Amino acid sequence: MSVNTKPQYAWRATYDDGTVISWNSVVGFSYNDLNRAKLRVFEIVSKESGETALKVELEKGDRLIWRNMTTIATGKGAEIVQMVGKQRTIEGKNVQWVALFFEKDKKVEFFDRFDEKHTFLRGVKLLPFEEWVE
Amino acid sequence: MAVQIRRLTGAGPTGTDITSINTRLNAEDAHTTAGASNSILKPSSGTNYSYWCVTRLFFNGAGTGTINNIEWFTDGANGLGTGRGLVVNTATGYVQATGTAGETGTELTVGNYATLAGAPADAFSETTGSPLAVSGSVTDPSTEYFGDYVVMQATVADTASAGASSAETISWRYDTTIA
Repeated sequence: MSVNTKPQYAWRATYDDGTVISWNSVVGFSYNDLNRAKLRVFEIVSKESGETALKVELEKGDRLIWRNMTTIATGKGAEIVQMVGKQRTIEGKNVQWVALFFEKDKKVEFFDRFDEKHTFLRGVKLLPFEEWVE
Repeated sequence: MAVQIRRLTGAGPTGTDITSINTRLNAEDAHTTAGASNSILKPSSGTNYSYWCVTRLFFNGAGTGTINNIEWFTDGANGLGTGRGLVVNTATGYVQATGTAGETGTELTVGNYATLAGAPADAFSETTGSPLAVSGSVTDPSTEYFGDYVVMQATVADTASAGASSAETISWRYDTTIA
């Protein structure tokens, strides 16, 4: 029996012109391809029902980061945590906001920054288009 | 998509999906869940070894997005018993395990496993809060291995008692933008 590492939740994005794009809207289109300049809403949604589990509103200049964080333990299956974060520069200061959604028990945790001591917030490797820098 | 933990054995090598099962670190280059015919021989003095166990993540299917930030860890507590240990490190390539079957494997060292990142360390020092970092990433994968190899080896000292060890859970963690 193989372990299912496929997340039960995925993303849905809304642009500033009202266009809605989901994880499965266009074949071959991924989170990596989102137009971040136009992004206004980013949601974590159930793949099955489309129900929103977490919604993040973005203002112009906000930078988004999203990850499925998956842990696989031999003989014990997979545990998936969805991480959504944004940062903004206000008067030269970097302001961060991060949320973790635990698929297993549907619990949500919020943080005001990327805590390098936290299991799921430590060492996140940014992709080139995310530019999470002060 | 499905990401699997695979154990690599043989010259090929052959990859076995061990995600939902156990695999034994015996004195043989083979995957088995319960095999006892080539157990590690308890030494009269010093230390004997299992054949090293080479593992790697495998993406089964096709996906659009990236996988990175790969980590490996244990529960931090050696439950194998007195005189028994487990060492680990990453490697950039595969080297088939060797040794004397039913007795001891070749010791896992940089000299014996050329692409090993360094001397192997106690696997139980790699924990969820301080895991072993595994280099590598993949974008838009399609049924392929990704990331570096993680190579483990069980050790048995002359102070160990005879018999099978308790099972230990090995965990891998990764970040992905593949939905």
